[in-house]
Amino acid sequence: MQPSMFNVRVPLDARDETFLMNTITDAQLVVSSDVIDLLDRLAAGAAAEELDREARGAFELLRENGFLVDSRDADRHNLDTYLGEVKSDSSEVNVTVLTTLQCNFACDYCFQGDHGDYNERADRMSLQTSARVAAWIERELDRVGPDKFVLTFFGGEPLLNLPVMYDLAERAWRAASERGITLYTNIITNGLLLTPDVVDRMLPFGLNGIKITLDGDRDTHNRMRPLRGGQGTFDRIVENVRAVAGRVRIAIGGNFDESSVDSYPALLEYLKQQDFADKLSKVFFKPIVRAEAVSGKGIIPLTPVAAKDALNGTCMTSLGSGAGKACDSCNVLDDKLSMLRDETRRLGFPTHDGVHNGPCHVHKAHAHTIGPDGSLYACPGFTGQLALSTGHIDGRQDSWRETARERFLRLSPWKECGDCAYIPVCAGGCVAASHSQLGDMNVPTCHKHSLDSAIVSLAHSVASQA
Amino acid sequence: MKIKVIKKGSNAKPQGFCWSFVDEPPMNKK
Repeated sequence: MQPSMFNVRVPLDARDETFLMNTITDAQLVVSSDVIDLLDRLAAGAAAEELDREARGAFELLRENGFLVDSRDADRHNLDTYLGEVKSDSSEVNVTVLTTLQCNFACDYCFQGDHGDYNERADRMSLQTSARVAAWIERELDRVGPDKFVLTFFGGEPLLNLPVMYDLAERAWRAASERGITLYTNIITNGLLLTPDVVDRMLPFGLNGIKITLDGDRDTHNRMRPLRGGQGTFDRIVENVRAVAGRVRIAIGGNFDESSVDSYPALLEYLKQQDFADKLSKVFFKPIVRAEAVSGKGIIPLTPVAAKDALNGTCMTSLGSGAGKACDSCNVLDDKLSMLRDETRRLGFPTHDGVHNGPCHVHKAHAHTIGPDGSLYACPGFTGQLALSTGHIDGRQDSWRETARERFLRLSPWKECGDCAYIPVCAGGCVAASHSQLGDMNVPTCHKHSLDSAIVSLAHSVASQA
Repeated sequence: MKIKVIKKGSNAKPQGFCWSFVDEPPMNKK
């Protein structure tokens, strides 16, 4: 037996102990230094038969939790099994519906939205298409037979097409109820048009949560996420959150770059002072990955709006021109991400630990994104590129869609990741970013630096409670 | 040898997470 390649160690120096995690089994231990010595001896070839009774007991516990495997081939086999199970998992059908690609914001980092004549050209789902989407959903639920159906309304700004959201939510709820399937309905919105009436209308149809974006403190958010005329949106959004908090779970997200990140602690302090603070179900911020190449250390150009090869479609910040290496700016901002995660945690807000990511929906056979015209996509990142549509809700057989579908089914960017311990929680990173920025979906976008930082944070958090 | 089990290993899979978009489906577990 030998240590698994998916083991990650974080020394806890103040305690003379080490945090151990296996990313494929998600086992987490805090162990003394002699257990680390044992792992090192086994890595050097020591046999189990040579161990004394105490070491043998530790050996068994490590083996049971996946920290010891027969061979590197066994690790590879376990990874293939794990990723195969993720792909074929039929316990959940996950559908993201883009009810419109129109947006009422003019975020400075987004090519979409109220820039130029974008909204005049942007697609919008009709009620007729909504009914056909519902019929497709029924067929999928019957075909897959899941326990859980997750329906997410996204865009564009989904609250700009309320009739379709209401219609589809009601039809989905009826379809799930008739089949004994639990429905989780989510809305991802900029929050400007969110009202108690919208929430009350959606609550009977499995409304589970609403995600709203705030990009920093008041002044910074108003600079980053203005209306077309430059008017700020922060105050209105906060008041809307206050009006609906307690009726539904609210998550706050935010997208930071070097010009905005230092305002986020003030945003967190502000949120903490609000009467709805204890009603926020999650607070999590992430870096904006710029579409253009980083031009110099610490300088990230704010010019993605007219990216030359933008994927178009979905509300996004990160994917656009082919310039530069994917995730250049991830590394620049990783330390800030870590700082914000710790600060969010310190103030008592639930947040994402940055480690438990997992293969994203693009790797799941029963996760789909549906564009306003009924085209199916592997993830929201491809909705502007019809050539990458993997099917259509009406079942039409187009050879190019079938080609795209097979292309996504064969995706395996992690094969370029060597023995990286994070493959089970990363799977090679963002495929849409790889396609857009590197021109090849099977080239990974590496997030190792971010994961290293997150697991240190997780280890110290866990250890402080152990 | 001291081992404190924080979390036992399992066959459970993570929910999935989007690295790149402005927003990701936020909270599919109740």
